[in-house]
Amino acid sequence: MKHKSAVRCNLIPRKWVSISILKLVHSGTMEQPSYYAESVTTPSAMGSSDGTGADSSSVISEEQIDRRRGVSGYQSTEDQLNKLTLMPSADSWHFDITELLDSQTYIPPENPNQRAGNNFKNYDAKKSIFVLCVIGSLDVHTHLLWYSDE
Amino acid sequence: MTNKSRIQADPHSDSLHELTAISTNIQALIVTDRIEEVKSRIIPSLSVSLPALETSGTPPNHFLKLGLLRPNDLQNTALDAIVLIDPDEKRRLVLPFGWGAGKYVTDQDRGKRVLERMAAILKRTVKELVDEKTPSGVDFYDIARTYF
Repeated sequence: MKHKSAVRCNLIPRKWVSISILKLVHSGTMEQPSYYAESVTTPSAMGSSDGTGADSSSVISEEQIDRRRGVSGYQSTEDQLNKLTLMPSADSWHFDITELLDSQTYIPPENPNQRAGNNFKNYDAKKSIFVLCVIGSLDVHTHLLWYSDE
Repeated sequence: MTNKSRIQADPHSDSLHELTAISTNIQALIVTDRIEEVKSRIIPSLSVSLPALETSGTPPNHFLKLGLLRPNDLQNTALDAIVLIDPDEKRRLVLPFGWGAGKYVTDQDRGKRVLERMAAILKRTVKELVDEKTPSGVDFYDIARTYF
């Protein structure tokens, strides 16, 4: 029996063995969770957090890419919006909340025309989710927080 | 700068109000490197007053750590965004405004639709984060009661 199997092994050309191993490795790398695919196709949608600066440093603009792909800019925006989902915890960056809260803080004074959005009285380190409005050159997203889709 | 918002405020059913209903401990904050402008212009224009945190350093520390520095920008401007940080201090979502999926957010025609989508995404993802922290397996009794 031992002899037989050895013969059978020799019958398979070595080239075939290495090809099938390569195939296995290849299919292994392809089986990434779907979020990898998303971040590859729309780096800007997921944030140019990798520091590659996919947005403004790329040689051709997003519009040009859209045109080449034969889709309107709005259509590609729809695609990108559909891909905005939570990143898996294991793959997400750590962000130090203690360091953030140590920053210079401005709590707006009470104003009869405004509802107070300060919820620090309900702060719980184990439960609190932070919604950070990062201000660059716009302010439209600060207004989003009072917007309702209903 | 967009000085006026096209969004109408409704004090009884605003987005932050809904988010607070989903997660009572939620903290909404403004992160900026231009605190004086935020104090004098942006916060007074909101119907919900949000606390603001100032980021310092060159480049601004929090922008850097959030991965939101505009590339190749000597002024160290941030990429406008709403970022969700979960209770484990993980950056779980970046909603882009004026770039990426949110490129058309200030567009006269399409802007409102994009904002609607962003508000819906924000609500859905906050709900998902709350559900992650809710221990599962306690609902078997309820399920059984529904079916038998």
